[in-house]
Amino acid sequence: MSDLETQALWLSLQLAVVTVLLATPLAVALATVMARTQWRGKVVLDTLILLPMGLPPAFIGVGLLLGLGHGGALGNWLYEALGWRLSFFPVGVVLAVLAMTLPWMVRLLRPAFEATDPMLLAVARSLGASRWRAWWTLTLPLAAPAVASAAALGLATAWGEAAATLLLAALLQAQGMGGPEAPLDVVQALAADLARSLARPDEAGAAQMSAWNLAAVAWALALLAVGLSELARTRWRRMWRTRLHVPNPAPSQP
Amino acid sequence: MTPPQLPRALSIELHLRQPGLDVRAQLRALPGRVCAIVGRQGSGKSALLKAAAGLAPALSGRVALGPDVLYDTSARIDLPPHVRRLSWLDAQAHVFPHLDVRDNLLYGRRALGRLWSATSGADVGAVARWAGLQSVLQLKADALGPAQRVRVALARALAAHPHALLLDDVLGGVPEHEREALLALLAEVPSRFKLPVVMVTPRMDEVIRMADDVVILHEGRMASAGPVAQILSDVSLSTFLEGVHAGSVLEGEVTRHDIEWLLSEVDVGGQCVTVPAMLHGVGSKVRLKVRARDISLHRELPSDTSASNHLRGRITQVMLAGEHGTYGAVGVELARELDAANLHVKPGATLWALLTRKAIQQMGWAPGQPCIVGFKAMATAVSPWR
Repeated sequence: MSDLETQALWLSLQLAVVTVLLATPLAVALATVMARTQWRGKVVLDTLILLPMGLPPAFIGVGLLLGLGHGGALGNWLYEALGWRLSFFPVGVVLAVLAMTLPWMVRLLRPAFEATDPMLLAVARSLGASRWRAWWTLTLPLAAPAVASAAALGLATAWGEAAATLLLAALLQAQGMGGPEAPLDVVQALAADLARSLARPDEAGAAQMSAWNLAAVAWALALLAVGLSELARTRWRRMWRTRLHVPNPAPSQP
Repeated sequence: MTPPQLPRALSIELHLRQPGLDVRAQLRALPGRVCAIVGRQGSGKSALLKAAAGLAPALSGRVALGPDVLYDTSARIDLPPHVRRLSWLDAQAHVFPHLDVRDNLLYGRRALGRLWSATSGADVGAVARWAGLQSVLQLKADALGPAQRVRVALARALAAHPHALLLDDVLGGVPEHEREALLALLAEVPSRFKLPVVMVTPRMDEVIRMADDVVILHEGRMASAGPVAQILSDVSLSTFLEGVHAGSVLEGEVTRHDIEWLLSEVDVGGQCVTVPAMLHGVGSKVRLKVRARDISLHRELPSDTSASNHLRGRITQVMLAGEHGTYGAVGVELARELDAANLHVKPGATLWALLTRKAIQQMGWAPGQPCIVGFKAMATAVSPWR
């Protein structure tokens, strides 16, 4: 595998890992709120969280650019208040991938948080545990396998989305939108490679090799992540069945 | 978090709404005493207990530990459950599935944090020993049987140093053959841990065994409340309770065992009652249950009878089940022998006899008349009391 390819894969992986590290606590928090509370407007937030699942990734990128980018309302405010400007890399790309990954993770986590027996929490409260402590010592550990499963699936999703998003960012940068950002050069070079090989079929051999290599690695990682996710999910379900099985109360005296 | 204090009496006065039911009740449990709430299914017992612990909302009322108010709608006080620390447990035990028994027992202690370790109190290990859990400390909930789960839940609740214990039919899921041992353990709780205990149970034997006071809840309202022997000796009880036969509960002390005939004698307010032999030693307190339909009334000591018990008393009440009904209930206040030392005269125990209307009218029973109450030794059910 060429140096360029390794760099490109490494970039994708970094991006995916950073996204999952950010998304996991966020998804856990959202799943808890969604599973445990009842309030007006909950359905709106719910829809907003899940919306990216149904949108083309490009939409999200454009939306982010319009909102947070140069000229966007929020973007201008952030620039004036903090002197911060959205860059394609890494913040913009991470945000885009995050938006694509979060819905899947929340969707996967919610049943686990909803399934926590509320009476278990009630007992903990009566034993002197505050709401927060009861969550930390019961809800979270009981949902831990589901969290692991969601994180693994999140990694697979982020890994898949990262490539597309990076390509988009690199192309936008090549068009002169956004500043010079070194890591994207890798993607640009790779994209240029690919474009060249497509333009000149007689020299396509090497580029095709490269594409196959990349595809193989991508497949392997996706397979690994999804496999892990399923494994954790099975474990969670088994734990649910055996550990939380409560005996039926004996029929009371007639 | 408050450091441990002297146990305080728990008083509950609550108004709450359940689907299709409006519950209003008040009760009080002193430290080391047990108040039992009984009533038909859906009478609001469990809801009352949960609301007292702060685990379910109430409409109004007051919950207090001695002078300390935990909940008071008029004063806008509503402490969260972890500050109230009224340990609540039910038949499902709710042993935390991801923790082993040891960590389950330590849960309450850890929740109280550092403040606690400096203060004295029953050691978690001692509680585990008392509950017979040393051999299972490393196990998790899925390896425990239903009776052991209840033991863990009970020990966990007590190790958390609660201000009171609220038991919602904790033996409901325990198989019959394991119930007796658990009941014996449970009966030790009030005196050993000096806590106010409020218990809900559908089984009268648990009430007779454990409770000092009883509250009968009927469709959300208190139908009756008072000391166990008085309330459970009320013939109208079967109106409010399912599977309860009208009868009386007598409190007494074992005085003698008759090895030859395998009988025991119990002193009830100075009169001797003979019952089938039991294992409780001389001097232990017992409660006797006699069904009202097993009791006969005599004017004079009968000479030729198979009944071994004849207690003197006075008729207090005659109630006919309708003008032309088959039967009626006759209330008898038992005579109480007083020695010179026992100066304040307490009212004697009350017994009820179910007689036919014919018998009541032919013998002319009326309030105020002296009588002899007769019943067979075999008609008594004996239960240890603490």
